[in-house]
Amino acid sequence: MTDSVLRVEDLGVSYGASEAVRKLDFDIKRGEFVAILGPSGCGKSSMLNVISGLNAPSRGRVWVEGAKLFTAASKAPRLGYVFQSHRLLPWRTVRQNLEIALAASSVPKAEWEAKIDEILGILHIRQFKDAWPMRLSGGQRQRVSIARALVVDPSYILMDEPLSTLDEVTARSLRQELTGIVQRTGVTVIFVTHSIREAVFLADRILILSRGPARLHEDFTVPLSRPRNYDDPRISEIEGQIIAGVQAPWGLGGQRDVA
Amino acid sequence: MSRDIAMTPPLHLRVPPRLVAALVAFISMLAIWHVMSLNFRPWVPGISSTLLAIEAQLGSAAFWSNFLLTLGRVLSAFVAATLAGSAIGLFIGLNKRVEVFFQPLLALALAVPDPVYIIFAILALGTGEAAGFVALTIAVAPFVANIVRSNVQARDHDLDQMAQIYHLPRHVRLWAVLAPQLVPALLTAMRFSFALSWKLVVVVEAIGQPDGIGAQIFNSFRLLRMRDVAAVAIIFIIAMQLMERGVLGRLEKRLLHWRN
Ligand SMILES: Nc1ncnc2c1ncn2[C@@H]1O[C@H](COP(=O)(O)OP(=O)(O)OP(=O)(O)O)[C@@H](O)[C@H]1O
Ligand SMILES: [Mg+2]
Repeated sequence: MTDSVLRVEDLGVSYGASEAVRKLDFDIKRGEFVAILGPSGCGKSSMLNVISGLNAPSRGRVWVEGAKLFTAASKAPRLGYVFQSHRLLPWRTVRQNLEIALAASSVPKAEWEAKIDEILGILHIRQFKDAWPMRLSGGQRQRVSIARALVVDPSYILMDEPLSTLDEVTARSLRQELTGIVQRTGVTVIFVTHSIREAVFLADRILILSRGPARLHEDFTVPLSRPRNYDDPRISEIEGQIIAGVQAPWGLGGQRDVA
Repeated sequence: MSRDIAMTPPLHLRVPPRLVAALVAFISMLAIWHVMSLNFRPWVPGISSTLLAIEAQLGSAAFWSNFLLTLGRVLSAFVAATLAGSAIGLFIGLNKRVEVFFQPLLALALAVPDPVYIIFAILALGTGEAAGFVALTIAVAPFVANIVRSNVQARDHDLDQMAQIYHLPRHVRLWAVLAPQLVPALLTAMRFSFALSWKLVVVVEAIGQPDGIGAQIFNSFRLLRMRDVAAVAIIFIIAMQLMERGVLGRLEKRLLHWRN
């Protein structure tokens, strides 16, 4: 229990009469990489909005590092977020983008410079420290976005389809690196994706949601050691198993959502 | 370095077509002016006599004192209108409830013709310095407010969400996240409000002030010295154009340098 970073109990999200998330229970441990899979519109973003502290749930409880969220006394969680698009400030350099996030974090100012250098180094973009985001490629911008999420010493990082807008070659190299980054930093990641293969390659555990309103269909532990190879036939095998397993809960159109 | 050289286009000695077009337009304008001056003798002054009058004005201390006076009025009204309009636009744009209340007022303010403000200000405040300043600010600020409001509302809400997730404090959200998104619109608003300001200042001076470029033009007109009317107007228009392009243009380059 002590190393639980995020715990969700009986979580429900409704918008007026329409229900987006019905009942979710899960517990994420420190250092875990958890992927979330679910058909389009099943309620993944609605769930992320709750566990990022943006929206209070309609029902249920959320704990971050043992502290309950959404009570009068609770503070918003310290987290990093990598969005589908980079969401950097284009009028600030790479370094300034990180500094703006740092200024609002609990990292002491004396440590900023070293931390920025370290994390840009891990992501192989230290040479772009003083570049404008508009000068970078899509993959480089997404690296900066990941750096911003890491630099603030987050309890966990949420990633909402962060590689889906990149070309496959760039996505592959970033995907590969992501596993290394997670290992080096020991950060906890919750990673939403539409790609089952990506989920199997990256995650320790996959939470497979049902068609909306979202419930937990399966809590799947990936039976592969690290390092992994994206083209490993065992990944294809597991991918096939998962696809077969979601045919029914995702409805007949389930194939449609498989990247 | 060598790549830079390779990327620069080869030098052309041809005159760019835009320059040709501008030249043709300018020459046609001079031709029309010349024909008009031949046909409407006392009312439209000749080109050469106007040029002489321009030279005389540029050498006259009275002209320069009027010029500086008017410039001061233009700048103070412009700055006041831009600041007031931006603040109002920001306030309306950020608050849904405030918008419901203020939007009809803003629409009304935009619909009122500018001379109405001028006349009311003169009736209420007399012909002193204050009347012109108030009239101008009230006439120009709603334009700025409207542009700022619509751009605040069209802001990137994804960035707002990012700011919220990273707990950026309010002043950072305003200054580092929102304000830069407003810069292009604000520059457009400033161009517009500057152009409106100097035109209206001249009108206000002509109607109700003893000094300034507008008053000088009006006095020359009463004395039927059309050469001086044309000369003063031309100098002033060119000066205002230079300020608009030079100062605002440079500001634009500086504020939007991150774009390229
Ligand atoms: N702010 C909102 N107001 C009303 N309904 C909403 C709102 N946000 C989401 N919904 C509805 O809730 C359901 C779940 O949406 P959500 O965006 O959480 O799904 P998702 O799993 O993230 O989808 P995708 O895979 O397309 O990103 C959808 O039916 C959506 O229309
Ligand atoms: Mg979504």
